[in-house]
Amino acid sequence: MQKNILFSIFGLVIGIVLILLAVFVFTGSTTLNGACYGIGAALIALSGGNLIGKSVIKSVETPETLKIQAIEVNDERNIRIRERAGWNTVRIFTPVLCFLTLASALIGVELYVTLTACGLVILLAGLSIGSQIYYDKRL
Amino acid sequence: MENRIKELRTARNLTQAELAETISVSSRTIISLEKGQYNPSVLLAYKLALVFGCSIEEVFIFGKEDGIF
Repeated sequence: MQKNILFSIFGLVIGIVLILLAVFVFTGSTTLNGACYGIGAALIALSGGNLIGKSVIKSVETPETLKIQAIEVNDERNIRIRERAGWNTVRIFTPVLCFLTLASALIGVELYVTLTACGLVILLAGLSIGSQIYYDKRL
Repeated sequence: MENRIKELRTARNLTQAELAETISVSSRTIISLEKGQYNPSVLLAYKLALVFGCSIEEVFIFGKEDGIF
């Protein structure tokens, strides 16, 4: 928990620094300026949101709620539901991604879009094979 | 797989929430088990058998529809 909060504070500081860099330093370059604004805003939103969420949870946290939370997280039926939901999502998402990759190649969009989509398909396949090998050895 | 969880639980005057708390699972899991919608792991079946003070075979009824026999 403590590590998570430190990580969020670090993200928040980096985000603020990036926004300040975009405002005061990289005013000439539009690409660098835009990247600093984008990444900075994303870091501030994610880290700030995480910190606010943690403080809200902390204010209503009791030993009873912690126990219930632990039971819900470790409940074997919930674990099985999460695994099935994840598997179904991948099963549905894989052909959609393949179709989008093929469509992007056929309609002639920018090459980097098609290559990125191809990379995602390869990454998905690699992760799937890697996970199967890992769990085959472990279980 | 059929089971006698509801019967054994009510015989011991336990609520679903109390049974769930005893074996550290959610109440929803107990409801699903009693309805026969969910087949538990060996570990959970063992815990249930321990709570009811009987063997796994007495809690869960392995029928023809479950295969093998």
